[in-house]
Formats: sequence, structure tokens, C-alpha cells
Amino acid sequence: MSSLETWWAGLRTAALVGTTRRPPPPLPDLGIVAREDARAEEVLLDAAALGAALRRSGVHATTGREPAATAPDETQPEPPPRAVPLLELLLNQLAAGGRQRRLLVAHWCQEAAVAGCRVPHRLLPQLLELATAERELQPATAEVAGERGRWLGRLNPDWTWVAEGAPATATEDWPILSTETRVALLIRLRADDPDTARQLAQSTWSIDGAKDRKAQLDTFWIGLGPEDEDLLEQALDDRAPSVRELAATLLDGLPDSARARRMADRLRPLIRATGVLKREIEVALPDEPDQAGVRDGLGKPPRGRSKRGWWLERIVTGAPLEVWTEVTRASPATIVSRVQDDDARHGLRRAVQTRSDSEWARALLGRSWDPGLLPLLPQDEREKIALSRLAALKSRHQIGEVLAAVPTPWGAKLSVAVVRRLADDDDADLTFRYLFSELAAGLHPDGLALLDQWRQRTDGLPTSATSLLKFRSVKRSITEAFS
Amino acid sequence: MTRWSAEQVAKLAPDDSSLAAARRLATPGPWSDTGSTDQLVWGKCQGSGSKPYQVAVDLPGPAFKCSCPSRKFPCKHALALLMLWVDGSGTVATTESAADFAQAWAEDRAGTAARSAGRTKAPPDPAAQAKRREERRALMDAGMTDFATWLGDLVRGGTAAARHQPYSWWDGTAARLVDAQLPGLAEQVRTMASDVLTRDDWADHLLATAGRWWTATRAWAARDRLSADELGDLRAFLGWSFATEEVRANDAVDDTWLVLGAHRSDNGRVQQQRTWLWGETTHEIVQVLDFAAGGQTLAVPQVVGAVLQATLARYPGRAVRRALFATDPVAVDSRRGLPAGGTIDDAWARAAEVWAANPWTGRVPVIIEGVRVAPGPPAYAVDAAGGSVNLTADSPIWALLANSGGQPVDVFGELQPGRLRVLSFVGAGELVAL
Repeated sequence: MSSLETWWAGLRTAALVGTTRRPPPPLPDLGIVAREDARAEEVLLDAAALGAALRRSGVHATTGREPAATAPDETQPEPPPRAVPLLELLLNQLAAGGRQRRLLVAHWCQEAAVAGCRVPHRLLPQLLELATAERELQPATAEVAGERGRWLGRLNPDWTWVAEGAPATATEDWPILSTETRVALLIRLRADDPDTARQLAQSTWSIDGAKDRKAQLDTFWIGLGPEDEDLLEQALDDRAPSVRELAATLLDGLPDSARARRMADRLRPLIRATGVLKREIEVALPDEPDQAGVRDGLGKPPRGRSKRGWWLERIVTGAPLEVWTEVTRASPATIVSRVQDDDARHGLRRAVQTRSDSEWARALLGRSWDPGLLPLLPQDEREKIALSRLAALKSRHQIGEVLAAVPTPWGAKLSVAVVRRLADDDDADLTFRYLFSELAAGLHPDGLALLDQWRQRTDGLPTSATSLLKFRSVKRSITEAFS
Repeated sequence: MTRWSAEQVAKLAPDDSSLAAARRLATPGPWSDTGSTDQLVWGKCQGSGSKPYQVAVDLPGPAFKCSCPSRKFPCKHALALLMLWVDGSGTVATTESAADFAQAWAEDRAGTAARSAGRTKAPPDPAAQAKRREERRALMDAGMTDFATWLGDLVRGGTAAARHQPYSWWDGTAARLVDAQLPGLAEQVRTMASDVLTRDDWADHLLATAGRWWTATRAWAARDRLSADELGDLRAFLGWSFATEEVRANDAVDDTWLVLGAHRSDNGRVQQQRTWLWGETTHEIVQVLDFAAGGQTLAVPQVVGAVLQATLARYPGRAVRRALFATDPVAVDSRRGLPAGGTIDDAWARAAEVWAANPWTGRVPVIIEGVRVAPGPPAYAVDAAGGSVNLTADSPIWALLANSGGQPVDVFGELQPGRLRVLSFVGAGELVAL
């Protein structure tokens, strides 16, 4: 410590205890003369004033500290000039707030990703802060953060998600990755490159634990295809019951697999056309399964189900749908109307859903409303069915359920019908607000035009409907800016 | 006046609900007869009534006019109009001449301003004025003597004991200072009350500040021996302000001024905005201070990097002088870089010079070249020579990192004891606010 600092430390101590208990230390040799005949307090205060001035002005720059490493160069271009102000407006909450802003920012990032652009540097802090708070934005934002964004993510502990979200080409590191990272990697890969994903999973299959195997296998729902059959068939013999069960369920989705053929063999003898005119279809309950059957998933039923009913359902789920048309020589619609057995019907529904079979979905929907099957039909059909269903409904909660089942964006007819229907609603504002997400994503421009007309005519458009129009207008501006 | 940025408009909103309400109105639908010139933005907004509301904004002020019954300031219609103007979609187009109602209002405002400026107050009665001055000085003398005694008590009892005093002990002294027309000191005493409890270095801080306060009491007692500028600095410290007419009468500097940087702070009672200007001829850095209390809006800040032609009047002072705009600034040039700066050591040397001339000021404006930053915490800046300084907690380090990418940049900031606050930097040849 320098002599000045020593003196100051002594002064500080004297000040702490007070001049009644300890006199202040004498001034250091600075060519300054202390006042004579001053009281102890004044001596101390004078010294404090002097010391404060000296310490404040005698400062030098600290040495020995390094700055952060510089950021790598960008590989992607900036967005087109019209797009940048839109993002700026959104980030400053001028174009939208709350949930709408989140949806629009996500849309902006998606459009930018498609165009291969990155976010301008000066808007990165605001955007990254927003996405840190609104987690759903993180994947879209990470796509377009660019090298600068990822660099910032490495420097700021709140923003580590940016760097992690980047397309990890770390497939070489597979053996040492954590389960969480592996699953995230598989999810990304299964969409475009399911074969590589499967090979990665297989590479460590024998040494991975049961939980890991199950978690990795669970990603196979994405991009499930015939090439996955070998691994799944092998997994039917897995040590862990959870993995076996998952493999069986996944194989339900592969109607050309060996298991499906085995299930078909089990199913065929159970179906019988009966009745006077052979109009009825009876499905017999299966017998106790053999070892192959247990291996294929016909094991212990869940609590509350009868075992034979459960096995029937599983057999129906696993067998190709052609078995039905083969045996009964009737159309799916006919079959659906004639089969009464509940377990068989459950099985049929699951089979149809897993295989995305539109013909059978149409048949099942013909008999009863089933929102889960609606997305399997082509657009005009599903909208027609939704429309007829809507006509019967009263509560906005139910309307919401129907609309949520129709994949967006909707066609013109449905959109116009929905707007008309909502216009009649007693509490239109609340309904619009309740259904905002569905309407925002789904309404066709014709529906929006109708809303616009309504506004100009009556001047009484509910605020949430105006908000909806504004939202779609901004969304359109963003798309146009990137085109 | 250049078009504002989205951020500037967002900052004008008195609260979040106004911003949300304005957003709902910011569509072309309800608006008609819109337009803008350099100085004015106007439009008519169809509300729930039969007649549309007439809305106008005078940009330099800014001042807002709207015929709606709202008591918020600015109201949602004015905000929505600005949002439409700023989004560049052409809903509020630039035109040659203003709409009648907007023009009439603007002229009316200018007339009122001129009238109130030219309005001669009743010629001051010199005797009454002298008496008031005497009374004030007597109050301040008594207040300073009282304060000196309190300081003596403080060091007699010890700073450790002071730290254990309840808030009312500090607040009582502050209240007496306010009564003695010394509000600046009062505020400092109140701040110290919380500083001793929150700062790790409270013992050093209290002792050093007590030393400075002590110097102030001694300086006040010897004020007849001080120059006008030295007294000016002391008055700023004590909180005895100068009347703006007096400042205008005593100084006028006509120059082109570069806006170096700006900062807003809020102490809970009053919002303050500091704008730093560099005189291109005088090479002097001055600060313009704006205040807003309660629900008022602060003046729209000058754009950092802009060059303004204006006459400024400087308050008496020796270093880091405060100034006010004697004439409305006119933008003459767009964007320049920073004047030459130095290293961090140079900045500390400059601060020492300033503090030698004016011991009362806390912040010293400095320009440092080739700065790179590390986020820490604590965040710090490193110059080309390898010297570093800690950054204040409110320095916008992420904006600086995002824009610079870790490359060295020239920055402008405020140096305080022990820390630097970065306010602006040079990016792509232009000075930009952070």
C-alpha cells in the first residue's frame, strides 16, 4: 500500500470510531499545512476533504484485463430494407403488443429464415431479450440470429439458448452427448434425414440405458418410414418393457411391416359377416395369444379393460386396413356402419389415425364427429364437415374446439361462414378475443374482407376484430417485405 | 426535423395502456386528412362521436393537440398518429403545406410563446428584490452553519455510529437543508442515507463525501472571494439555481454543436435528461439538462450524432458547464464521427483537471478511442493501450457488443469516480447512441 493509502486507511479508522475516541493521523508530506488551532473534528474533516480530492484524481487505468474475443464474420446477408423497420416497430411494441407481438415476431423470423437472412445487429439485444422472456420464440429466433447473435449467446448467460439452438452438426460427438441434447438433435434430424437419425440411435443402442433408448425411440414418430422397421422389430425383443411397448405402438404405423402381416393373420379369422343378408359384421374376441403374440404387444391389458377386448383392439390397430375390405368385400363406409363392437372400433380409429388414411377417416367421420380425424381429409371436405358441425353449435368454447381441429389456413367458404356466424354472436368482442389465435392463423382473405366491409358499414366492429384485421395486415406486410 | 424513430415514439407514451390503446388506433381506417411537414404532423381520427377528432403534433416541442376529451398527455390519438407517421407506410404522407387547423394551432402556439417571452413582468422593485436576496442569503448562511455543525457531530461520534442511525436522522438534516434553500445538498444527504447501507465501500464513500460537504461549507463562508464561475459551480452543487433569463442575459455562444450523447435518469421524483454537446468552434463540451416532474413528458432528446446550429447560453461555471438553448436548434448536417479522444489514462487525467477546477461535479465527459468491452460482471472497457475501467451498471454493454462485434470502437461517455458510463459509439463512421 502506498503511503497515501496507509494514511487514508488510518483516517478512515479514526473517522469510524469518532474523534472523541481517537485523534486523526497527521497529514502526509504533501506540502500542505494543516490549520492551527482547529478542533479535532475540523482537522479530520479537512483531512477527509484533502484525501478525497487526492484519491479521486490520482486514479489510473487498471491493467491486466482482456476484452471479449471478437465475433466471427457473418455468413448470411441482412434482410431486405423494407423488412427491418417492421421488426423495429414490433420490438418497440408499436405495431402490436403481448401475444400478437409474439406471433408476428415469430412470423418475421420464419420469413427471414426462409429467405436465408439474419437479424440486423442493432436489433439483436432487444430481440434476444424478448425471446428469453417468451420461450416459444427461441427456436425461430435462434435460426436467424446469425454469427453475431450466437456470439452474444456465448457471452451472456441469459442467452445461451441462442448458441444451443443452432443446427448442431455435432453428430461426431454423439456418444458423449447428454440424452437431452441427443433427443433434440434427433428431433431436428428426423424431419429431413431420418436415416442418419436412426443410424445415430443404433450406434449406441446396445450400450444405452433403457430410459435413453425409450427417449430416443420416441423421436421416431417424426418421419416414421419402412426403413425403421428393422430397428423396431429388434426393439420388440428389448430388455425393457417400456421400449418394447413403444416399438409395438410405432409399428402400428407401418402397415407393410412383418408385424402388420402377423396381426393381419390374427385378425382375419375373427371377422365374420353374419346375419340374414350378410349385412352384419361380427368380430370375435381373440384367444389367449402365443409367445409371438405377446412379443407383438398382446400383453397385460391396462387396468379396467378386459384382456380379450384389449387384445382385439391391439390386433385391429396393428393390422392393415385392407384386411377388412378383403374379408367382407365391402367398402370402408359400409364396414364402419356395420361394425358394432367397441373395441374393434377403437382399434380402427387408432389405426386410421396412425396411418393417416383419408378414405377410412372419411368413413369414420361419416358416422360421428371426431376432431382428431379431421386433419386427415383434404381441405374442402374437412371444411365442409366443420361447417355443418358449426351450424349446430352454440357455445364459443365448442366453436373453438371445432376451429382448432381444422388445419390453418382455412379456405374461403369456411372463413366467410365463420365470420358470418361470429357476427351474429351476442358477445362478439369476447368471442373474437377467445378465438383470436385460430382466427389469426386461419382466416382466408375473403373472411378478412368481409370483416372489413362490416366495419365500414356499421362502424361497430368489436375492438378485438379490428385488432385481428390489424394483425393480419402487419403479417401480410412482413411476408411482402421478404418477397 | 428528421422523422423520429420507433423508440422515440414508444418513449412518449405516459403508460402501457396508452400504448396499447394507441396501437389499436394506428390503422388507416379511422384516419383522414393526414399529412406531415418538417415541423408538424396532423390528422383527423374518427372516434365514437359524430365528428372526427382533430389531432396535431408540433415536433420541435414536442407539443400535442387533440379535440378528444382525454386528460392523458399525449392522448392515444396523438400517439397513434405518430405511430402511423413513423411506420413509413405512407398513411401519413409528407406534404408541402399543413392543413388549416394544424397551421392555425402552430401559429397560435408560437404567438403565445412570443407573448409570454416578451411579456414584461412588472419592473422589479429593486428594494424588494434586494430584501428578498438578503433573506435568502441569511437562510442559506444559517443552513450552512447548521450543516457544518452536523458534520462535526458526525465525525465526533464516528461514521460507524452514523451508519446505525435511523433514516429519520438523515431525513431530518435533509429537511432542514430544504428549509434553508439548499435542496441540492438535501438530496445528497438523502442518497447517502441509503448508500451507507448498500455500498460495500460505504466507509470510504461517507468519509470522502463528508470531506466534500465540509469543503462546501468552507467555500460558502468564503464566497466573496470566489470568482463568478467558481460560485456558479458551488451553487449548482448546493441546488441554488439560476433564473434562465439571467443565464440568457449573461452569455451567448453561437456555434454548430455536435450531439455527443444523452442519458435519462429517474430518481423517483424527478426525471432528468442530460444531453452532451461539442462546440465545433469552441471545442468545449457542455451539457443541456431537461427536467420533468410527476406525469410530465421530457422533451424529445436531440438525435445523437446530429449537428445543430444554435445559440447556447452557458451557466456560470469553470468546468463541465451546463448550458441551455437560447435559440431553437436547427439541424444543419447529418451525422459525424467523434472528435479526437485518447486512452483511459488520458480520460482520468482529464477528469483530474476538471475536478481541480470544479470539485463539485460528479461526471466528466470523455472520449476514448479503440475501446473493446468485456461483459463480466462487472463489465469493463479496455482501450488500445490495455488499460481498463469498470463500466456502470446502466451502461448499455449488450448494445455496444452487438453493434461492435468486439471490434475496437471509439466511444463517448461519462467518467465518474471509479466507473465509466458509455453513452454512444462510432459505428460505420457515424456517431450512434447506444
